[in-house]
Amino acid sequence: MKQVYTKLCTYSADLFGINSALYELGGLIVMHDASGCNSTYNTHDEPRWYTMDSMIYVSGLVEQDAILGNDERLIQDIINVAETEHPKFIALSRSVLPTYLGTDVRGIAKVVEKRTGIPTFGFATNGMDSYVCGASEAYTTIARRFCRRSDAGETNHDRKGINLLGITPLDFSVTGNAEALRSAAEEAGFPLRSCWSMHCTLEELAGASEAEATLVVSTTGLAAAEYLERTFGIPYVIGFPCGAEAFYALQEQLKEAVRTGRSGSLFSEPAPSPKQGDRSTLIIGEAVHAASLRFQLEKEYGYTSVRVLCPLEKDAGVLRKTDLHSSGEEEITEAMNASDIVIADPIYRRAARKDLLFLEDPHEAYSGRTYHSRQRRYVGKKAEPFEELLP
Amino acid sequence: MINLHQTESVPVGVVRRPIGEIRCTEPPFHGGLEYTPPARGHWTIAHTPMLIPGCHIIFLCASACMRGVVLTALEDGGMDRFSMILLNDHDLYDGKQEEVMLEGICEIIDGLPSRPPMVIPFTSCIHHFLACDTKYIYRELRRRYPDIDFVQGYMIPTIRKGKVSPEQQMQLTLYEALEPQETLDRHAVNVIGSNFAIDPEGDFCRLLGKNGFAIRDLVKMREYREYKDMAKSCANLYCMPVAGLAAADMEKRLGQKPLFVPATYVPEAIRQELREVAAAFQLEPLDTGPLEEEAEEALARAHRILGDIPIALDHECTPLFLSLARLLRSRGFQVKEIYSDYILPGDAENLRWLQEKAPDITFCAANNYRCRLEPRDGRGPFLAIGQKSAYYTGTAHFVNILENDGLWGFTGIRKMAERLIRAYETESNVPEIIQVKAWGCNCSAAGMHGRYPKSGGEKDSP
Repeated sequence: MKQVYTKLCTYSADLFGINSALYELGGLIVMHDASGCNSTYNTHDEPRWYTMDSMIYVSGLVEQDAILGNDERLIQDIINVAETEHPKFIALSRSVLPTYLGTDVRGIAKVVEKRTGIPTFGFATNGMDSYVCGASEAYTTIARRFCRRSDAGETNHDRKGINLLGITPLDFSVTGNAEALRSAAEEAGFPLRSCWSMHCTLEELAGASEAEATLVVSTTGLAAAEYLERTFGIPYVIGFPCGAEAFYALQEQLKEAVRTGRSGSLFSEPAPSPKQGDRSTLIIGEAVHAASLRFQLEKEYGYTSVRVLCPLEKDAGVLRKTDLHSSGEEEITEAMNASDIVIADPIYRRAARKDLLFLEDPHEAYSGRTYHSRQRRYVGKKAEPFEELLP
Repeated sequence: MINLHQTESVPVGVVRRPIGEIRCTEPPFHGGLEYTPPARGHWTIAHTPMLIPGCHIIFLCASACMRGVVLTALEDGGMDRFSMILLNDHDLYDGKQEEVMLEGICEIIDGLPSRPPMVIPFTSCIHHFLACDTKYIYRELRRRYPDIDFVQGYMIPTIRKGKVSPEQQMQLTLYEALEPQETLDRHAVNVIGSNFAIDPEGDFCRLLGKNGFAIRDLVKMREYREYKDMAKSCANLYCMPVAGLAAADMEKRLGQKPLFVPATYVPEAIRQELREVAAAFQLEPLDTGPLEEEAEEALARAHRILGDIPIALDHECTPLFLSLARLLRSRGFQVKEIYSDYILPGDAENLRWLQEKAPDITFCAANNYRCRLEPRDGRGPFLAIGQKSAYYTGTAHFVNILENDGLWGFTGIRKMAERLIRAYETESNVPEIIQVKAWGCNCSAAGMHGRYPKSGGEKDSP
């Protein structure tokens, strides 16, 4: 049965993706849930919880209010805090029970905004989708609400710098990869206009409409990048610099995007022809991450038989026909066991046959804080190589 | 008893109040949006059932709810005894809850390397709000697997403020597989209700041990048979109020006498409880004189060393935390802050004592939204008892204790005094310690007793 898991884990959920994306922006973020979502998020999925304060709370839904449909308590609780603390915005998401009780979080958001005058968003999450859906929706909402056309941004000529879109600890942890992305952008000659959304402010994100291009570094950033393109004509490029080859390729693609106004992708080249005897390699993970890593293996290591398995709902359109899309334990196990080499979060090793070469690629959105100390530095020209795969 | 549904009269955002303003009958702070501090040492729904040797637990819910429990099992090396069934939209819309639950559980059991003696499937809020027919499912499971004890588990946090809390429900679940016996062993008692083993040197253990009683404590068990043998004991002693319903249920089902021996720090109350234990089993009362003397000496020594350092404590360190504050203040210690959002009825008298004798104590919220924004560093020297008070005072000197850690009686007072001295003399890496979930689970309970035989815990961080 596809829903049964005896060895593997589940990815971070939609509510947590929203929290992670909005964490540093000065908002009041509320998960409408009884309890559990709060401790799961702050214990496993939020490495900033101890050291960086952010107003993320749980509503504490109780049986009585759930049965009687008492949304007024939630509304009043949010307003009470908002009127005291004056957040820059308010975000409300919901877990599985409010979803099936039909709690209208978008309607509640309208009521809260009307009463407080503070921009308020209701995210119709269900606690079943992954963080990719949540973070993606959060970024798009911020872009829609706060990015405005300005005089300086009327033509491409007047625009400066790039946006980095899709950076949360869920995909990049707090072990230096986010900082490396910023450095790589500067090194490639693109001043950073906005970074969505680590080490940044809401005001910086609002200035994203004045950038000359966007670099989408994870699936979470694609929908907002598309919005920026549609609305402000800002082209985007998908992929992140995983090794020197990817760095130079992205540098060229960004220049091309700025010059032509057309969006691009690190993954537009066709797959290399398979070499005889090449070891079959499977990379499991978020699609842009896995595809960027494959780029490095193909261009720098000479691998020709690398497939990606995306266990999340969205893949940013970067998969090849030969790639896989599955979240079921049985299918993932089969795919791993049909490979010679697997690169994935250490949890996947539990389901893999023992004699294949398993290379660890910890992913915060999957194993949470468990493997922090084993996190790789995979961003930049000097991305840490997999020694075992070097030619 | 506090009515947690009552509309609070305290203004929003007030998180510190003089103890004189606190009432037993109303919540001390405004409820509303809740903050979860990163003090994670308390045990969770994924830890406590693992105390039953060999039992396999299966959680059923959506991804957001599952993530916390599965990663908990991973961190504590319990993945071999843990499975999950993720619910999705289609199952719920199509009315397939029962089918997914029944067939999923069977698939999990059939795929296990060996047949577990007990399986606890945990259904969640959504199952019960959508009226999942769990009676049918359990009937069918028992028919298909007559050799397995199936116990119904509940992961329903919406009942937190209801008549039966999730923690009380967990205690009911834990002992449900115990079966009635024809005769009970008059010289064996169970200690129930805590995730921490009762200290065998504790006063009532001394009394019972001296009189030849066997004490059965789930936390120390390694074999499923030992767990089942708990049904043979003649009484259930419990120090944690949370086990009251379970004790009453076991009296009704198994004929075991319930005996509440709250872990209090008030000497007269300890003496009274010891007299009650002695009377219940028709024993000679314990001569507590030497124990009291040792306790007082230890307290005096601790006071000489600690001097006037301000002390903070919280509701997680021991259930009757006001009794601890009362004892310390009565012996000259400078208890200044108490962190809690409730007061148990058993602490009402201690609250009155503190209000009269120690009105300078500040009562502080533990989960109010505003706690997130209060200054935690640079608050000057503090010694904290409990993880939350360590976090909120920003101190490196703290007694890392939860659920009273099995301490009891005058011996418990002596050991607490010794821990105060250690905390004063030693700096701890507080962030590293308090972010570990279910303190003690991996070493004292699971690891040492081989409950997680294969994988061991995944403990890379924090």
